[in-house]
Amino acid sequence: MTPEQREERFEKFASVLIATVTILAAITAFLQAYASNEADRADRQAQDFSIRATTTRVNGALEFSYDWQGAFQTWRELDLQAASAEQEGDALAAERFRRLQDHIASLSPLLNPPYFDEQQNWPDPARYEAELYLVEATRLAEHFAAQAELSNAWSNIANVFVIQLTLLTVALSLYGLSTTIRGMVRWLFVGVGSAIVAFNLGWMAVMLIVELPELPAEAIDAYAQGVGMAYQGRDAEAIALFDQALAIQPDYANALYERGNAYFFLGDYQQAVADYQAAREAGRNDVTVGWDLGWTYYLLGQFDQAVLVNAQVLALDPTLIGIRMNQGLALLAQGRFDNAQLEYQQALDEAVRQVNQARSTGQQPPASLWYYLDAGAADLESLLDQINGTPKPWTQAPPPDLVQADFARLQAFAQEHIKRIKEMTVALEFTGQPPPGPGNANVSAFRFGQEIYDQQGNLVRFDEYQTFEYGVDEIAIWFDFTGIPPGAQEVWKIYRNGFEDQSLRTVSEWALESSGKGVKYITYAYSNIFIFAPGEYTVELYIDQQLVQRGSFTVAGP
Amino acid sequence: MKNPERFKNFASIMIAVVTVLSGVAACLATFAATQAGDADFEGLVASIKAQEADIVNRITVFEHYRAFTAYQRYNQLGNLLWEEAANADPALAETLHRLRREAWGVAGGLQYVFFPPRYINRDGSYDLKREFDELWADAAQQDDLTPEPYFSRADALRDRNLLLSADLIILAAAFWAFNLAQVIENRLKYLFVSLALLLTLAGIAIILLAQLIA
Repeated sequence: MTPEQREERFEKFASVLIATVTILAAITAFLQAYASNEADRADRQAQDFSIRATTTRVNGALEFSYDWQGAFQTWRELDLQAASAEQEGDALAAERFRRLQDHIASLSPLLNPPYFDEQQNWPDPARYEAELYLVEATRLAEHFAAQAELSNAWSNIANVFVIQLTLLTVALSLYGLSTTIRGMVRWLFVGVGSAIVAFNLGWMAVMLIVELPELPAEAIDAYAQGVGMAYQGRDAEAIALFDQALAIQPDYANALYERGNAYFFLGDYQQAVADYQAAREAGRNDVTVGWDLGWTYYLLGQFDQAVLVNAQVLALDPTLIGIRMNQGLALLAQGRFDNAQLEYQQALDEAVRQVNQARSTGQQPPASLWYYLDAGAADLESLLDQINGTPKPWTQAPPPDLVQADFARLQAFAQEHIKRIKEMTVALEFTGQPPPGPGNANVSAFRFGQEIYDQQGNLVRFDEYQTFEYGVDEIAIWFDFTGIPPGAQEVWKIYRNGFEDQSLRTVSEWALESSGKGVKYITYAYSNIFIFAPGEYTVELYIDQQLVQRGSFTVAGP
Repeated sequence: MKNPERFKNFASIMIAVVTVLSGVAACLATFAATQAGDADFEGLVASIKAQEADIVNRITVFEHYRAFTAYQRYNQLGNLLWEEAANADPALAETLHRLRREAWGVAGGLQYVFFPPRYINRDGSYDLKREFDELWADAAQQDDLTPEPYFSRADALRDRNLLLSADLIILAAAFWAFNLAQVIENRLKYLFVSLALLLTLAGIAIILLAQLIA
């Protein structure tokens, strides 16, 4: 064979090679177009679901706003008017208000079965909201998330095919160039080009069998129904629905997390931990899940794990005051007092920073800040109640036998930090600054009771009680005081069953002398309708943001 | 010696034609993809406008319904006071009538300003659905609130894009067959050129067919 013939033969070989790779490029281009189209389609559906989820939620909230604050508020006003008329013995007026109530009840489903409990004379807003919009909004939001994930997956595949097209272009260029040169180098070009083509073929095969993140609609439906049940506090039914969702999609992270919450509220902390961990492994490795997981470990007395998870969450977001306090609490339970002290200090410093930062720009700190500061103190109190063997129905704390710290030292630490946190909360809320140094105010222990007056309005005696009978509508608090400057800020906070009843909070300036005897009334006697609800009440007095006294009393049940 | 040259020239020309056809198909496919994106955007705009109208209308309707609730409270109170006055002694009746006039006055004031009485049904209830539907119809006259046609068009354009992309494979196969026919010296070349011609015709038909989609 002459060199010319050999040359011609090579050129023919190269041209067939080029034509063959062109087919491969066309197939790759088709697959890229397909993946790109699917990504666009999923992206559009995700956006549509997102818009519809938002609208459903907003519309539902609007409608519920009418039902609650339009219809129910009117109904409730009439109920109170009827009760007042009954107390005054005006049966005619009471009957009139009751008939009006019935008329108003016809205007809203919230005031009728199955949403209204005739025995308790109160609606079930959670059930109404869940059925009105929450389940549907959750379903749409889940579809949005699923479609967004699918869109990302398709986009990634489309991008891979773009890379493959680029590589095939390189291979085609090498084949083309091989026809312009002679000798062994041309075979090198052909070899490299063919290696690229072979690599591309393998990669293409992998992309064709890659699994897409598709979440079945049946799983989403069951999950959304479960969220609706959980919202109503029907945790066992919620778990059954989450089980259904997980039977269809075992790695459904949101369902795992919500089932963990349902187990938590049922008190099954072990199962809750298992679900939270599974949710994290399935992709929900976020602050919310970590927060709940760390707290549940703490309640189980698994302090090492609690500290580890809290640290992971704080690494994600070091500004979280609530979890910083949880970390302090877990370290305290371990007996690592210095570390706990550091965490509490950082939490309070962060609170000061957030308040200052917000107010320096004319804004307000998040409302949750006050909640988490209050909760930080309440959690310390719960731990104290637990180790003292006096847990309350609302106490959340680990079993006392698992607490590793020296109890006496823990008591002192907790008492000191409860006071610090509470004073910081009041100071930040009312002045935006940390509390000033200790003042001279001194207030004796509170004496709770009822003042008895004669016909002329003269005080006859003070009947002191620790437990008041059901039906009491006014409680007097007697105390002695010294060292309170006139005009000092005076804040009274009343807690019922561990939570502040803000309707009983009073803020004023000290109007008495700097020392003497004082009396504070907590009262519903301004009307003939209300009485104190049964429960344990704690009263706190702050003078110039210093917690100067606190005491507790109980109101018995009927 | 003349025939082989003519055949090769024919094959070369056809390769050029197939290349041009591939360019046309690719161009049309890209154009369809762009149009699909535009249609999606228009659909999402319609969807957002529809949801906005839905929310605004719901706010309006429930504002009216809230006022209607207050109206009902006072109107019904007036009715009850009227009934009570009918059975009361004259002194009490006068007091009840004064209260009744006050209640009906408030009810009347509410219905003049705070909700359209047109939507009160004959049985005294408020026709929320009618008011909402009418407001929706108003909004639909002012804006396009139906995203579905845009989304359907986008889907059809994507189908066109996909069909044209698939057509590139057929044209590439035609290109390959012409190439092979050009390099083969025996009779087999006629088989390949026939196959290539068939594929080219199919490619052209698909380009034309794709234009009928959407």
